[in-house]
Amino acid sequence: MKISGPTLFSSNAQATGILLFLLLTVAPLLMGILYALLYSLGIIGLMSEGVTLAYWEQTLGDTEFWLSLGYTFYIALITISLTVIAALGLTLFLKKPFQKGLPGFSLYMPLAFPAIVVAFLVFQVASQSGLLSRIAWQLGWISDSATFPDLVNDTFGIGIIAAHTFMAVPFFSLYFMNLYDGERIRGFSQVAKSLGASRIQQLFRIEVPILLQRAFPTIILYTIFVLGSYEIPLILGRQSPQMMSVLIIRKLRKFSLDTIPEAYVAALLFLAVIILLLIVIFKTRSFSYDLDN
Amino acid sequence: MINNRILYTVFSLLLTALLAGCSAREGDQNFENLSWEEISERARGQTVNLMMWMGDPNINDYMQNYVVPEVKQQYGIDLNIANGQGNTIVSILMSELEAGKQEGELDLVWINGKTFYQLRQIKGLYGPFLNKLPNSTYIDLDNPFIKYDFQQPINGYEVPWGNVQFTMIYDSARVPNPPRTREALVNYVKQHPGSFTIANDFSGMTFLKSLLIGMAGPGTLDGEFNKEAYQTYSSQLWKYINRLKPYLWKDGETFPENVAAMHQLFVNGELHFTMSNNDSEVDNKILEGFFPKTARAYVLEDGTIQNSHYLGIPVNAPHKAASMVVNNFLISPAAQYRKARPDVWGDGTVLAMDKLPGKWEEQFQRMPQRKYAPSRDSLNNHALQELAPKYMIQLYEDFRTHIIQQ
Repeated sequence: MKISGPTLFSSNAQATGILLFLLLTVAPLLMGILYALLYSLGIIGLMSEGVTLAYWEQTLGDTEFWLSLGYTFYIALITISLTVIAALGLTLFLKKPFQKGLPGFSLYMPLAFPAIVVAFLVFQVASQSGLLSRIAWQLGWISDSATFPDLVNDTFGIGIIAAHTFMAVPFFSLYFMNLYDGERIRGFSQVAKSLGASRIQQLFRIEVPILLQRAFPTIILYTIFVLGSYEIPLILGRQSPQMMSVLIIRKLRKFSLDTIPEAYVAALLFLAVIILLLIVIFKTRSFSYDLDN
Repeated sequence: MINNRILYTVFSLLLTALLAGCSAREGDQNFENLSWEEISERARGQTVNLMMWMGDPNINDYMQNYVVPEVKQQYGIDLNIANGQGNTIVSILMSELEAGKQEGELDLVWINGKTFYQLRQIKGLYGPFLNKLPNSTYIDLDNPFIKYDFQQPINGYEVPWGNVQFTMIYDSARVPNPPRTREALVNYVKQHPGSFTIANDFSGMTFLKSLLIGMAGPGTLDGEFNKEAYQTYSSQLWKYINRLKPYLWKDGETFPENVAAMHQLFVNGELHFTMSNNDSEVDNKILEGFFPKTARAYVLEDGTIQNSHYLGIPVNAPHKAASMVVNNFLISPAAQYRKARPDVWGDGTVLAMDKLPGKWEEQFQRMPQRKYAPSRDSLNNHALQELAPKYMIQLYEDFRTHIIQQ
């Protein structure tokens, strides 16, 4: 979005509207960032002992911070990849049955669950004393609950990824199905077929590329949502490495008041990394829903 | 250009908001020269906002169905209770003070140790006011477990409210002879891998502190934070925990976020032990039907930490008079007696029996006893004093670097 030149506003009403929008959304955000910045430099804060770069140096040199950052991106990328693959599969092969009746309804169901509830559900089902473990024990597959594989609070974030994927697959499936119908993808595909394209070519040269291109901004926004998630990694994650939100809240709210500025540094760095990535991504692609671009 | 004007407006608003946050704070209302009658008179009709941990149905029941109606009826005070623990309280007060807010949201807070230390650090507490309260004469202020909060003299800035001791909890049906020493614990855990862990929260840190004192010897770590002593004994402690680590829950690679998660694992049967900062918790949880009837509390031979919890008044509390009256009610013999009953809350009283009027002394003596935890007298023989708050802050950080991240 770019505001260039006075011609942008056709009337005073429009200008007022945009001003209000900026005041209500952009201004608080900027104030928050400014506050975090001042706090992280020791300029404000009850415990501050004067301007210092110590908190920035501390955080930049902290392996825990970089590990957490990497881990956060790992979780988000795996989640979004699995989700997109699953949702594409559902859309391209099972669209008919999922657009009506019980399957259709069941697709909407997970959308109604808040993140914290999903986290608890995954915990109840997948922990070592959970439902799956009990079933495996009843069937004689495992001798006691400790031999059940670690699926929550585990090294690879399986629980976190499972919970996020559970929430995201229905959302993307419905979205892809609507795109599929709305963009008349079937029509394009038929044209290609009549020109001699095989089913594989129809899928991978026409249907999947159109869906992905159309959905691209939404996929990126959802990735950011996963990057910033809190409850799910809090309940299903490990004590180390932690996803960024969990790490930041710990530094902000746990026992030591001295780590509060570090929390702001971590938040600002996390934000900077995301904004940089967004700029790079959208610089190379047009931020538009228009197919012609 | 209109967009420049927009930018300018936004920026000046930003600045105004920031500057507004920097205005100076005024002095507090002074109650020095008021008599208790005058304070009570002022309190009538006021509303007190109390922030406290509301994670226990017994405690909530005591507060909502006993304290709230009593203070309304006796003193005409409306008591509102909001949920929030130490860190929430500290961050609310910090942002209020940083914003220069002279009348805050909170009139009364339930705190101890670390929160007391932090609130004193940010000069967030009103006081001293303890001596103003008529019922404060009954408080057992000779008791070091009450007079000092994490080695810090309370100096009239907090009102002692209750007293508890850390206990280990086990299921006697599965563990007939619970390990009572550090070495026995290692042996037990080696024989039963995955059955023990440490919560990465306040309770877990209290457990670590108890071990630390056990290694250093009682009294060695008293007083202010001593870096050298801490280094010496904490390295012993990490060596010890690292011996346990391969046999802990999830091979010691991760730890429960808090003691509630640990209770859940204990009830599921994944863990053989859980822990609690409150020696009555085992009785409460059995009565609730959450713990099995065979659950029991005990302490290690080297002892465990006993501490008190307190009530404080924020420096910017808008209704200090009413807050003092509520404080005074909460330390009255009637309110303390009720709170100490195992079927109500089971929280140890802070009143000295020999200072109480005879009738109340008798009532306290005749109180029904709890069933699943050792008696308070026998726990007292194994009670250790809290260490300075810095020890816990340091242990929490080092537990992360020496154990969790290894």
